[in-house]
Amino acid sequence: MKMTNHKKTGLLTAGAFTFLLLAGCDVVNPGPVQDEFLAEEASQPGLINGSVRRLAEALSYGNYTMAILSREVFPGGQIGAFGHDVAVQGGHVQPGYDVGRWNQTQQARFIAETAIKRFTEVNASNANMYRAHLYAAFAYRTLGEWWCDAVIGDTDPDVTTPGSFEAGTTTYFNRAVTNFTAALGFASNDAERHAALAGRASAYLWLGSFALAQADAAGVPDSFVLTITFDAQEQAYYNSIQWANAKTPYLSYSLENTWQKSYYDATGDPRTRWVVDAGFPFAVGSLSGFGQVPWSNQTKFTDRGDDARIASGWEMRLVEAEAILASGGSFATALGLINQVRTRFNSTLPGNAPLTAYTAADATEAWQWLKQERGLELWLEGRRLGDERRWMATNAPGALYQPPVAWETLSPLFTSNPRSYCLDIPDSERDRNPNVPPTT
Amino acid sequence: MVSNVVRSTPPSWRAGLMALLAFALVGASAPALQAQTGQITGNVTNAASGAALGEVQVFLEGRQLGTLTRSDGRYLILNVPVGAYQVTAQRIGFGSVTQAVTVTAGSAAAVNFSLSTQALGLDEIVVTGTAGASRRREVGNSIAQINIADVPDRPVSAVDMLQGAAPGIDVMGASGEAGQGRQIRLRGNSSVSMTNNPIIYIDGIRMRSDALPIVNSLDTGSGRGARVSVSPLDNLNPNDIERIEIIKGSAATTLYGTEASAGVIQVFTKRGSTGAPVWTAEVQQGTGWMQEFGVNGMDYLNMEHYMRDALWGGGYEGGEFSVDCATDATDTDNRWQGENATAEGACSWPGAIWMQNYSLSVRGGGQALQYFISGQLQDDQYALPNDELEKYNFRGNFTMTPTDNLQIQWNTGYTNQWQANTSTANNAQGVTLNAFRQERNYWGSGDPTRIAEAMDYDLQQTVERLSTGMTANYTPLANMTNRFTVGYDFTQQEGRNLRNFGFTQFPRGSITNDTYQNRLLTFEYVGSYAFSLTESVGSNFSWGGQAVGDEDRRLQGYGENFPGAAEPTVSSAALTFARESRQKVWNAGFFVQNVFDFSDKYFLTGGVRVDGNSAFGSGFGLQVYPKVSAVWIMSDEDFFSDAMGTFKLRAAYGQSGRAPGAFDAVRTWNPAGFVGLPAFTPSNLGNANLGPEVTAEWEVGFDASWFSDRVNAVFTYYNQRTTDALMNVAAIPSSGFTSSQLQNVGEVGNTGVELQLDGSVYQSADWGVDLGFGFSTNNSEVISLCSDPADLTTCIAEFSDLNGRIIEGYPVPVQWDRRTANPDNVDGTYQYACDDRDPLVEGDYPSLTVGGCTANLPIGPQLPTTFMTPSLTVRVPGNISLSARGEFRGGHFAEIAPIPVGRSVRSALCFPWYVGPAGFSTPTSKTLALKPETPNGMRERCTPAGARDNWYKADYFKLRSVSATIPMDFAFPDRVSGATLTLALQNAFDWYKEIPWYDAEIQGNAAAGDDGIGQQTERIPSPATFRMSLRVTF
Repeated sequence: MKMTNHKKTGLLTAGAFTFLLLAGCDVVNPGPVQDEFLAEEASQPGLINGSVRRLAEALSYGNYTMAILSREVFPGGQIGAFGHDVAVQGGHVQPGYDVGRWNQTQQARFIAETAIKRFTEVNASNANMYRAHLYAAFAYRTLGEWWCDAVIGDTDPDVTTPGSFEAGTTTYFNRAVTNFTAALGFASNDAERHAALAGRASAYLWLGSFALAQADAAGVPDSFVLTITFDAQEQAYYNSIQWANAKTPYLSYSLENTWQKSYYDATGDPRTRWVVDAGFPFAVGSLSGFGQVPWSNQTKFTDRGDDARIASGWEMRLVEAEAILASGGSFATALGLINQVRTRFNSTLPGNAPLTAYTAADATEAWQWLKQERGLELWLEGRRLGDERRWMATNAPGALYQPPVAWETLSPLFTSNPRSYCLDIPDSERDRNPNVPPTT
Repeated sequence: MVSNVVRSTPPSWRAGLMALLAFALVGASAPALQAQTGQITGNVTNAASGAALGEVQVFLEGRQLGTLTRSDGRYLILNVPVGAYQVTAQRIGFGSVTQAVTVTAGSAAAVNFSLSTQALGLDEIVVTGTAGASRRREVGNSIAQINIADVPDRPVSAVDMLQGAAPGIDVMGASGEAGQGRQIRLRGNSSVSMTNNPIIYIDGIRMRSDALPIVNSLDTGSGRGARVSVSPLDNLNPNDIERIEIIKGSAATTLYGTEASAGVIQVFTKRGSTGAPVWTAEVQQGTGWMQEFGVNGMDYLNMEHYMRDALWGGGYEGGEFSVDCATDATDTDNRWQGENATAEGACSWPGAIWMQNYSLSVRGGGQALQYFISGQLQDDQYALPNDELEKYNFRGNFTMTPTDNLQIQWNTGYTNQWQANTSTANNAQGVTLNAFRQERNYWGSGDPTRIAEAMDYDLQQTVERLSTGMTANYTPLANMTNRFTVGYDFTQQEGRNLRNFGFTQFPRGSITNDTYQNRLLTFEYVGSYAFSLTESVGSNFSWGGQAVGDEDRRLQGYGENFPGAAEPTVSSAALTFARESRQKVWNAGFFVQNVFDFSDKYFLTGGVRVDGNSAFGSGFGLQVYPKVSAVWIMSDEDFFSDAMGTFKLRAAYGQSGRAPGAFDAVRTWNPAGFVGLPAFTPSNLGNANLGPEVTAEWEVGFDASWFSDRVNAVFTYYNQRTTDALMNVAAIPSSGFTSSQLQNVGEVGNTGVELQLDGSVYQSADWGVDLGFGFSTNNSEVISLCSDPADLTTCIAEFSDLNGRIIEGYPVPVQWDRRTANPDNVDGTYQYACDDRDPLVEGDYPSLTVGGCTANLPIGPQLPTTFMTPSLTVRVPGNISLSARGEFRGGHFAEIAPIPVGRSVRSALCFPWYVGPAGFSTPTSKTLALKPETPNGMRERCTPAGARDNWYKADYFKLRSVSATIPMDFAFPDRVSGATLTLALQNAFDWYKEIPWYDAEIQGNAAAGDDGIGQQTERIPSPATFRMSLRVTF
């Protein structure tokens, strides 16, 4: 039977659009990668790098926030971009503040644990297993040092049950220790072993396992350094300490009124050298109750791509010293370790003499120099606020700095709210996770 | 200090192109010599008033001869061969009339026409939302139609034409930057998470409707640049547009399927016409000025220093300040000293804007081929010194009729738009932000010469658009039609964002080159077959399909640290990196529809569209959208006397959808990269069952005219509901996937009425008075969202988007912030509203559980809920028309806070309440002290620790245009068929109910990409403008 033109038209139409419907469902877009490709051997380094990237993002801005909260820098008044809320500038963290750092650090942990599971299933190389465990451990250490409380989920990334709430962060440090220990099992050279030992030593310190901390720290040489990589090509992991005060155009904080600035003027310790710029007399904005803040800048980081340390041999000397003091050991031995750290520098003052060694008559004075030296050695590395919390929790003797920092007279901003020594679990977690109580 | 704006396209080739076009057009239009000829002449008048009618097409049926009437109604057709002819006169809005005439050699035959208005246009053909062309009387939904001939003030863009043009059309956002796009909403927001932009067709092919991306420098996510987002619709030459059809909701858009929930706008460009070539040339010159947008003596919030040099006052030009305006850091400018002092001096009219627009077109042709060819040059200088825009438009539309039953229409338009912008908006290296904040800015200085260093920021964008499409209409039988359309719409934007070597705040220099491309491919087929079921029952069956491919590509290159002050490229920099993204989505579907016609007065339409989309989840399948509508031409009934006028009753129901994004359905990891190494980070959790959100809408209404068509009314009530609404549901952060996942949850709705009333109050040959009034409402609501809608602490946290919030029982979106409970009290402190109802929220909203007195609360709708558009046209002797058109928008709330008091910046709004000279006298003063008598509301707004509650009822009125249309035929020889001078004053007056300063329409940070008007940002408002246009047809 001959087909009429009308039928031909109808069939052609139906055929053409059926083809297009089918073709339309098969669009391939470049870009995002689907889950099932992650365990492929070629993808394994990328997965770990993702974890490191998230940790770098967390430390990028987190180190800056920690510097503000621990009074390592003086707030300039800037809020919003590369600034902090007015209360945070005063040293107080509102409940639920800083969701970004929580997300990044949790994701660093999650990606690393995803890598551990996927790599274990496919029997991945020791090198990849080492890195996955190492950065899972550093993510846990950061969670433990920065936050007040913990949300403990399953270490199996495929378990979707919401994590449970834990007062304090002990489990985070325990998991850090577990992963550092696992990393040691996969380490293939001294540098890898030193990184895992240094990380584990710092976690043991928090857990009160002073002998273990001292032993691990002793295994790390002075010259060892492990950094987190910041990069000038991606704002997410710029060195924000540098960038927030770069004249492009942020001048978000100052060294005005900081202990480090006065200390540098007195000693010339190159670790705390500061500068001013006559073209930029004030930080941007204006600090509530203070007015415009005369601007001065740190010189520890001079480029937004400068890396920051997350573990080092010199930190280990101070870990050893703290472990000795905390366990009632010889304060003279501890002081000797502290002075090893200090006296490797020459003053920038005329004569360039080595920095003067500390002297101590008792353990309390040794504690004081330990606290001060950690504040100098680890300045602007995001560790100070956690140190202060740890020492408060154990009633460690001695002042934080000599003379003490007293900003309370500078502005009501510094007295209107109590100082915070850790970050609160953000509202985004509290609101969505039924196991986490709301802020009271 | 000289602004280093380098034109990316030299003017020489443009001039050449214009010359080439003119040459081609002249060549194409050379008249054929006739041996034995005569002339046809006469007048065309309005049958009701006797008034002359201009721009009426008068042509000889079957011949290539015709012309347009002059504004006095006269016409003259030359060189008509001797013989007998049928002469037709037609104009949109009037019934066409044909008369017989015999032309003899060497004489002029007189034929006069009297045309009657067709107020409702029931037999007018519409095509948008219908399967094939339909008479308006058959269509059960409302269709707004804008005819360029009816727009009195010679708009400079298609978006201008839409502003307040019909009820239910909302053009939002405007500010003073060159090339800044605006947002269009039809019946409000129907989606929470997806775009609410209507889809746009031009001559049957899809064109991009979303605004083009903002070009920011890649070194920071905070948006260094001008935050200007170009709207593709603004690229069109308004003189090319014949009419625009708009269907606003799903009751009308069903046949467009997925992606059509937000409505459809279809632009029809002019076509060729049978007859001798008709040329139209238009020259437009305009100027403009910034109106005051400050308060308490700070009339321009210090921006008067940086406006382009005004002809009548001081200002900024080429890095220099006039003495009248300039101040320096040490100047004790008394504006800062007194409470309400002002000393603007000669800067009271800053911003010398100059706008030029030149266009030329020709249309004509014979039976087999008709053409419309046009060109346009637009060259505008804006109030900010670096802001310039140059636009070139070319169009060629060709209608070919190779056989009696086949017609092919081929339309092509090309646009090249170059613009430069001043660094503004919420941008630490922008002029406005730093001028507003004075010495507490990113220079730490209020010295205008320092702030003006931001003028060296070089920001340029070039947009090229090519839109070409072919439609073939094949009519094998008298009762059967086939239409096939294929179209290609290409948009490319190249943005260059340059801080050259030595730029104060980035001395090493940086450059971003951001190239974005969008390709839209359209294939459409529609067939229809009409037949009679009985003598009085007809049926028109239509079928067809449509496939649209939408592809985005974006490549961004960044470089910084230049070796010197030469003109750099990305390759010149020491540090370089790049970004790339691309995605493609195909949507394809087919549809069937049948219209039953009962005695040409009852119409029943039913149809369905079935869609597939590459963004649907793998477990989803196809989506089905049904439609049904009914029409009753009541005035055709015997019981309806002629004295009762014309009345059409209509009702329609339909569904359409909106697809998720290309990657939303799939669980993905993002290949993010990390310091040169590959890296994966969690991206999207994925949802295999993800489908489109579906908007169902029903509408009822009537079209009526009374008193011999002198009063016309179009009324519609609509109710639309979006189910399976796509919303971003946030994950638990500690789970690892921290981004939101799009899910089909919840339900949102919109209801409202639309009324357009037009009345011809008085008409005579010399005088006429026409009144118009548009009124519409739009009330949106989140119908369902959470299991416990009263528990804000869970619902509000899980679902939030736009710049407001999504809360069950509240508008979409609702403004959300803290409120002062006792704003007028003077007790030295402010308290927050902490009961279960915010005192300013009007309407019947549910009670909410809030987290204490300092918690945020819903303030009110973010988008206007009430619109009114009054208009008046007066015709006086000489056929001069005077028109005025205004627009009221209200019922919503806006946050107006251009000064960040939270950063201890002095706010001009607070000047009356500051102690002493504007709060403090020296830069290092510690506090912004307020007087004891400061009311609590102002204390909240003016105290750095508070700096909240800048909410105002945002009702406002703007006089959009006052224009005069003056026939100038007397100044030209008879061969010129029409000449009109138009004077138009726009946005010269405004009224605000509560807003004390700034501007209610100004764009948010995302510019035309915003889904609502959010927090105000640091821009300058749109200027008032005055334009003169001379249009000549010959």
